[in-house]
Amino acid sequence: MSLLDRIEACHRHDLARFRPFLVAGERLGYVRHDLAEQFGRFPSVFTAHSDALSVKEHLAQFDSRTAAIDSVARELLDRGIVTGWRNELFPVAVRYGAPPLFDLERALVPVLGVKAYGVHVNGYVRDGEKIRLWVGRRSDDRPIEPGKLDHLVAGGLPSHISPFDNLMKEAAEEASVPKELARRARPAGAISYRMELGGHLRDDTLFAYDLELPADFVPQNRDGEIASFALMPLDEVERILATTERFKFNVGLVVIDFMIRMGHLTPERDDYCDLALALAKGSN
Amino acid sequence: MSLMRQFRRYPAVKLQEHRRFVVAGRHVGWVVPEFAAALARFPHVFHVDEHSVTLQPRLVDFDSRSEAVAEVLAQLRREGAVPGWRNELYAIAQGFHEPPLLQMERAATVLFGTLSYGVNLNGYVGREWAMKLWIARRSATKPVDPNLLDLVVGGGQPVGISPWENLMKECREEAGIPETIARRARPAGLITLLVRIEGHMRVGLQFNYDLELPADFTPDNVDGEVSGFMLLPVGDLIDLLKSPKSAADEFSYDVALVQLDFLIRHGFVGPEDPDYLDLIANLRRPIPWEKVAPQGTS
Repeated sequence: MSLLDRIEACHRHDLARFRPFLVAGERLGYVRHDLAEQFGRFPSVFTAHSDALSVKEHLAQFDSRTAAIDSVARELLDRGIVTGWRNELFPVAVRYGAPPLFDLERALVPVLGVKAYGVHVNGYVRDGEKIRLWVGRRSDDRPIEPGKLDHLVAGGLPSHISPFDNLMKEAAEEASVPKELARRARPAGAISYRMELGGHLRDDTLFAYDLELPADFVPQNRDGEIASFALMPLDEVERILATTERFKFNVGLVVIDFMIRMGHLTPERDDYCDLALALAKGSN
Repeated sequence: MSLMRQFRRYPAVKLQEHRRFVVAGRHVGWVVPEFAAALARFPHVFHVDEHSVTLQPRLVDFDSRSEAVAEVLAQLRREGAVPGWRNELYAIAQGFHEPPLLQMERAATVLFGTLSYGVNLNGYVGREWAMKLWIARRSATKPVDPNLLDLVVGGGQPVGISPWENLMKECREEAGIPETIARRARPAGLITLLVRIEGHMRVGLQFNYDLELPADFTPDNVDGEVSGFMLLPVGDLIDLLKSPKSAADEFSYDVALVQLDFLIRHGFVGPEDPDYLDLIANLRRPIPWEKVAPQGTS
């Protein structure tokens, strides 16, 4: 196992298992063939062809489209085809920043394989030349990746909130970071990946932020999503990432990028170029 | 204007118009079309067809390949077909950490479209929006991009020296940065280049370093490649990258991209820029090597 394996795992997928999900002629996602047929059973909203699943063209407005897709989603929930309802809406757009074509319940995001965005915060402390990273351990009752290691602050990006405002909100809820500290977080890039997970296609972009914290700050979780926090030397973070699967699958991407940007990983490593280019693969 | 301007300063590279340069079954370059014709005159060294320029397989090792190519290049140089001869050798391989298949004169690498490497230093003082970057103006006599704006330190990566050693050397020669200060530089990642400028291909991978300089330090050029230095506030840098006031305010193509990466890594350009994800994608395009089908037995 290696750092490169962690990145490659987040790019692994086979599009042959999926068909394009189209809205207004634009491909917005990828849906598994058998699930496309399930959506096709609601012909007033969806058309399932062997080569694509499309939203009916008469649903031409944001509101009508959102409502119609939501009613099908709830029906699929009742039938047990969709699980893990979150009561959280994610915007679905042709590209980041474009006006959304509809809002979608978060549980449906991987089912339709539409693009989702998240915010991940590298919360770190400088100790002379050394850097230590705050690492959270996810609660055992989380639906996704329970017990895995995570960022100090991380979360999906819901509708109608900017990455930075979402960061401020999550920083308070997840780690009790005071506003005046959280405000010092700085954007540092974005990492995209497309992987098969739980039989669905996840197509994510994570906005990475760096937040240098004072040595005496100690995070505290409020929303029950994180069981505990630890301040880890980057050497230890690197060793855990390279040799175990203890980190949540996508956290490694942002942390390896952080280790490159901070000079913890250097061009003298044989895999330096491979790591940097593998991180960029999902953006291209 | 958008920062995306930096990726549009030169026409997009049409790889299908170029021929693959193949050595030992590996695709290691994109030969510019005019140059492929010149190489076809040396069939004992190059096999040229409509898709590829293949180094003859009888040249089985590093030394024999390097020697044969050097002889051809010496001849072409006499004919004026290899402008800007540098007397500097570059290693040729698919990637930086792979054993080189051969070495060749630096000036020829842009004709073969092979992957070349560089080291760059973002030297700055101050933090946040009070940050200023040290900028150099290239001397009028530089063969590439004379008089354009440049980083305080940057250079090609030759054979036989590590990126770090190269950076230390360039810090001394280009900006007179004493080693005690230069050693505080930190690697911060890489960017890739793929561009065709005035008939030359740049397939590049640039190792980038950041160095916070002491407020009382002033760079001093030793090797004559720089005509002067200045401190540029980070806000002014963004303005220049978006739209230069005049041609004299333009940065060298690769330098502008190194700075764009710096601005993104340090949060001066963030997700509120509508082109954020496109900028990030363009800074690290994949190196365009293709799998080469094994040679037939005929």
